[in-house]
Amino acid sequence: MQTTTFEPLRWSEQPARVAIQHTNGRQEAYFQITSPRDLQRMCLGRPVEELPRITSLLSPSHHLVSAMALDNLVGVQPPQLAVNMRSGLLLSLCIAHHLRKLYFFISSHEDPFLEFHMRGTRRQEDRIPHHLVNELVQSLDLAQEAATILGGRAHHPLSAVAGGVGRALKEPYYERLTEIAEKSLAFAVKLAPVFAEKELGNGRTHDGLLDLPVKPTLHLSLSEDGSQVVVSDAEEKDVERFQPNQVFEKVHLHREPWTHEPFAYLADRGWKSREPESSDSLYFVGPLSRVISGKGMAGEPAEQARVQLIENPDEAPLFSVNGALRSLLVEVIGTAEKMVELYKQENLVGPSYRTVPSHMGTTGSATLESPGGLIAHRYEVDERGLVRKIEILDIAAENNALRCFIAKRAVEESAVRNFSHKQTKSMIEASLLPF
Amino acid sequence: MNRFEPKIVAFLCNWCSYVAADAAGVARLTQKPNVRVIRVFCSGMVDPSYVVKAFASGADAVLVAGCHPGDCHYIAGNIKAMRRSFLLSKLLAELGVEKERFRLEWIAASEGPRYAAVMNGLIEEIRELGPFVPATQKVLKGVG
Amino acid sequence: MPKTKLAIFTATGCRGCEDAVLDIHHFVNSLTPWAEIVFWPYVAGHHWQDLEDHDQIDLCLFAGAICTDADRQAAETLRDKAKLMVACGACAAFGGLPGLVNLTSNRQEESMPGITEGDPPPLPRTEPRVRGLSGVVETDYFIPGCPPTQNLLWTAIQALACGGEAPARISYAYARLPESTSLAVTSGVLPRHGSTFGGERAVCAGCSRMKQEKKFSTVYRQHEIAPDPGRCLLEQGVICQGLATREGCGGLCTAVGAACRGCFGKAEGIYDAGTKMVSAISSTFDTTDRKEAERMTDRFVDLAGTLYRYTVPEQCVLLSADPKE
Repeated sequence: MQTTTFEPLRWSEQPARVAIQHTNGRQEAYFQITSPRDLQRMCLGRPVEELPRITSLLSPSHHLVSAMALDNLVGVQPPQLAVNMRSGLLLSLCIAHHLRKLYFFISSHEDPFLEFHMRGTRRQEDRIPHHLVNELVQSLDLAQEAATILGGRAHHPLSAVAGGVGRALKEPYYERLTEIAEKSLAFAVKLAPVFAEKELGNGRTHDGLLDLPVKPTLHLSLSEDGSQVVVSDAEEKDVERFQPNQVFEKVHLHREPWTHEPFAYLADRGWKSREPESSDSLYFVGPLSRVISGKGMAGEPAEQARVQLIENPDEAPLFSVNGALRSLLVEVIGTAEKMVELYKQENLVGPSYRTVPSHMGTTGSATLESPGGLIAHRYEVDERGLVRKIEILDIAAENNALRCFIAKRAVEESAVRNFSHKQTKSMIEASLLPF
Repeated sequence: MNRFEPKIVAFLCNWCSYVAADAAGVARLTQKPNVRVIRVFCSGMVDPSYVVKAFASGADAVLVAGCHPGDCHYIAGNIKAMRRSFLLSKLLAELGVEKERFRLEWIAASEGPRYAAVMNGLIEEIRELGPFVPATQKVLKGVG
Repeated sequence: MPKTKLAIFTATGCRGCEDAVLDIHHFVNSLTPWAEIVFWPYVAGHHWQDLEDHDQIDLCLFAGAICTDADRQAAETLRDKAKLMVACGACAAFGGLPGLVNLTSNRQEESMPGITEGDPPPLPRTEPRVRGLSGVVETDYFIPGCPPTQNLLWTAIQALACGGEAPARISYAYARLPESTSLAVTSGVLPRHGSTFGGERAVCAGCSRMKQEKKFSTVYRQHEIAPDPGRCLLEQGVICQGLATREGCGGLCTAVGAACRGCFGKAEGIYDAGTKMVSAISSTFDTTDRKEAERMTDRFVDLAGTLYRYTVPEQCVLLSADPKE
């Protein structure tokens, strides 16, 4: 038995590798997360109010859902100002998250750190113009600035606490936020068609990324008002709806001994396998999932982009790496539109930014649609408010089966095209990037 | 002879407990030889980090002994030591140091016999308890 | 003049430190006359084999804690190749949040059940204790923080990769670095081996809150009180670890209403940050009564997890003491 490994995987949030085992002419590909996050063990015995900071290790959005779970635990409703500030933070995190993925995608064929003056001489007509790449980075920076204003810090935010946020905004920031929102929207609208045409257009791929169709499975997302978790299928049909606080009953995690990340599946249907082709209990989350199953984007430009994505017959199949990248573009526009609506001074002032709770409950939970997909926390505390039990649903677990499948298909396609080791690795990485 | 001999580090204040220890010696009161005495000018100057350093350096128990409340040469140094002792014990317990291993005692200068009794008692208690094993060693040995 | 070679790698943690380097994007671009990044798997997709194309690399920014034997192997491989190993971020510098698992006393070597011949390749073994970088290899410099602040990160990269020649906007960092380090940085010589790219004093020096009288009457947990935004948090009864923590962040957390949790590690001259905090807090207990002091102490919870939040593996004396016989 022979084993080939591809590691470390580029752009992977966690240390990961793809290992292929060749036995008797057959080959099996495994996508393995090689290091334990152990977040549960880090949190047990900690004071529960510290969790927003500790869980932000997974992603900045976890900071927010943790604060929401705390609100639930202590039974308070944060004041509207705090709710708006937290939503504002989430929007900026979403834009930053998506732009970063798009930036990584561009950097797969262009060294991101090449000297500016040298780039001009290597410019190719069929690539995205360099000044646009620069603007993309600047737009990313602006989104992170907004995250810093609203959250204290972009990567491990600080401002969300039980019952609200930690402090109000300072006067000069209102104008700045409005400015950031407008610039973000202007750029998003400019970027989308150019990116779609130059990087993804005509079903064309670049440098080894093949348009990898993914078998449609179910998707999970939170309804727009946050009151229900919606399970839908490829034809935009509602398969099931349930209350957010039931998510840990409805979704279970299956563990395999060869990877540290579990696989999420719908408990009612039972664990069948990690192959989307042979299991109807698997689902996935994220921008592609949301754009397909969503009821439509609020603003005109975003809706246009979305419609184009799902209805254009010349485009590559919907459930594809190509489609996933396009959905990022759609969402950047949509999120920027929401930013323009929200980042108005009248929404970001108020008499109070925090409700101090009067008692501590025993359990609390919350769900949130993070940039990468649905996330959820549930805590159980002892009489001193120390964490006794903690359950976390993260997109890594939810999309794990999908990523395994994509890795496998990428390996298969590479073999068909006789790719070298390096090329196969690039193919795997680029395929996994937008998920 | 494989009996475990505890190593006790004792921080004794110059004005009371050190004098008591000295007196116990002069009076030839039988004492076991397990103590390392560190003379300080007041129990209030024993920073919690000295206690931790003692344990990290191999002590099995640490005793801080000062004057009775009201008798401190610096008025309230022993009160400061008292205030610190609770939070320090709590932290030590969380770090794997059993509460018997750290003690704060009041011993007046005239209480030579009491010093000997306290010390001998502590030594036997710690002998029962066993040597202090830092948590890291426990983990590596698969214990605990 | 040949360019210096730079490597950037994360063991186990998150991608915050590497994203922090990306965030200084245009500055990283301006490095190109002096340095090239020859090994950055996360962003540039390098393989381990690519490292072998170079006899030596000049600087390695190593982030993440050592949780598995693969992490340890990576640290040793990069240490062999690199002239300078820099622990980038709290996880590499002293263990970080992953180090909290060391507090659960029964962390044993984990092997995943059920791996036999014919199954997929076994995962790297987990280490019995999470360690920071300096716990497994000799570390030359430390950039603390979770994630490191951009100015200090940039100062470190310039100082160590460009010999101080890169156009520097380091006046902000300069003001927060100890004199000896900042002099070395601007002169283009390497700072003293083992230096930390952070200040010498405690966070209080950079915190914008007003400090008045230190009297601590009762402890409040973060959700129990909406503190006055202008006044020192410790004085209001919230445990803020600023006074035992190295400065350099400018009091980032306290400015946002969050108490300092010590992500820059212990300040200069402190033997053990936890006991320093114990000393500071309990010395300012506003009582002389024994019963009252006991009652006040009773309200504290999870001292070890709070006071050593980021530093259990390498800076908590009683939990990181190397076993002696």
